[in-house]
Amino acid sequence: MAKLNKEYPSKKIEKSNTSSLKKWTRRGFIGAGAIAGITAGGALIVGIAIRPGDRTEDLSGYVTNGDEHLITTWVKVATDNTVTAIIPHGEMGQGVHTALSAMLAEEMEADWGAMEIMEAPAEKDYANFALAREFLFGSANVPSVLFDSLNGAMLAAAKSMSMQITGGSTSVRFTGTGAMLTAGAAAKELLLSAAAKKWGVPITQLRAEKSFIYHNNKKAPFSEFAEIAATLKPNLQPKLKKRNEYKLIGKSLPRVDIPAKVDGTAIFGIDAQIEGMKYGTVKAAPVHGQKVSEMDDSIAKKMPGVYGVYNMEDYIAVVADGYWHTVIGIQKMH
Amino acid sequence: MVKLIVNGQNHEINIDTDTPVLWVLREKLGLIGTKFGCGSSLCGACTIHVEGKPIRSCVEGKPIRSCVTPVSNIEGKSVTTIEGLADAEDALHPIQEAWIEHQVPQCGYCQSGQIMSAVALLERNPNPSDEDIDASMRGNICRCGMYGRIKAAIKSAAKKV
Repeated sequence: MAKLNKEYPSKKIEKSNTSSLKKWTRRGFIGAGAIAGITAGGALIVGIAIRPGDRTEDLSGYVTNGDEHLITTWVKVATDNTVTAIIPHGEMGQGVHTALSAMLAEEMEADWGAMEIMEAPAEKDYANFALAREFLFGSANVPSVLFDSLNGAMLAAAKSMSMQITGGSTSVRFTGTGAMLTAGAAAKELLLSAAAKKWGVPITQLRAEKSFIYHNNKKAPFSEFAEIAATLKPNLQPKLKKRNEYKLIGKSLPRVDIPAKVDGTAIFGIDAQIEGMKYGTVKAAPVHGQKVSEMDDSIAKKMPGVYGVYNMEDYIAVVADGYWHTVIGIQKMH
Repeated sequence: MVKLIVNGQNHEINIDTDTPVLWVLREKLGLIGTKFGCGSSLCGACTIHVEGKPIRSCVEGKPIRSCVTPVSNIEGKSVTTIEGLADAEDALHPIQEAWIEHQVPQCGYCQSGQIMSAVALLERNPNPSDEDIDASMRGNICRCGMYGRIKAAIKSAAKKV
């Protein structure tokens, strides 16, 4: 089954994707634009497009290191042929990392068992689907007859992605269908095009399977073509598989988040640790609208580990080095 | 200074002896696998093992609620947390393997505690009945409702241990 990227989720926050920004070096490649489309009644694929150019250079800076190529917004391929799905939704045990990575692997013909998963960073370019709205209602020619269905589906998609939220049953329905399936298929086509170019053969003679591209008996890993693929223009309407062609989708897959949850390495909110962080506990006035009239913090202030005591009018707060210190501090307040 | 033995390693920690073990483990030793749920020994998320012998080879492991047990109570005693269950880098305890086989966790927050209680159960009672499991595991609550899979996983592991 797919593996979690070593940096996810078991590293502390300070070592998360955010700090990998600092490790990024600007190499001379450009991630191709990412196209995520949803067919509306089969007639039109509406794209959520990130235009190639400096925007994707920024984008790849957020998610890749020097050994990786960003093929579309949602997938990168490393020089060792590790394919990483970049997923903009949180895993809460609902299985979205498993489902979305499998959807991507399905259309991309990537080896799901060897895939890694990375949570998309909280960066504007991953969230800013105002471009989608522009595309939808600005320069794109959307037949008016589709507007109503668009309002429902596409705005929901744009909104959920633009806010980078997880909820409302949107992750599989919108990001999965729109980004993972379509971007996966687009990524596959980019890699096949790159291989056709490199090998000088017609693309129709090539096939992709488990992160490799085959031409008769010859085969080569995706990574060999990733650099070229990353410069090509993606197909806005890639061909998607039919249901009966699915190898992963529709099967009960082992969840990628489970191993970390059985060995104590899974990170939850309470586990977040940042250099120099403090903890705080509050004690609110017992009746709504009450204010603190006077506060005796003489003992609390001197307790070990207590950093500060604060009168916030309708509640008091103790800030300390550790959770327990805050609790004791609050108990000593009068 | 408090002397502790956690997962086979000795530690000397400068901490108030009243501090509950949970916070010593989490904030002083960085062992965040043990979780804070209620702080009142009601939910079981903070369950660890304290006994004479460390990790899975022991037969006398008693689960305790680390959120209310002061660290002075366990000074000098051998403590095992979720991180210490496996006996080698990559080897999992049969309970942990069963947990994966049965895809037990959803959100996963209660699971460290569930596993610690399950391990203690199997060490006392290698072939627990449904009633045994219910009685021993009743102190670990799971809002995601995975009780059915927890029971199935315990029974699978019992067959292997």
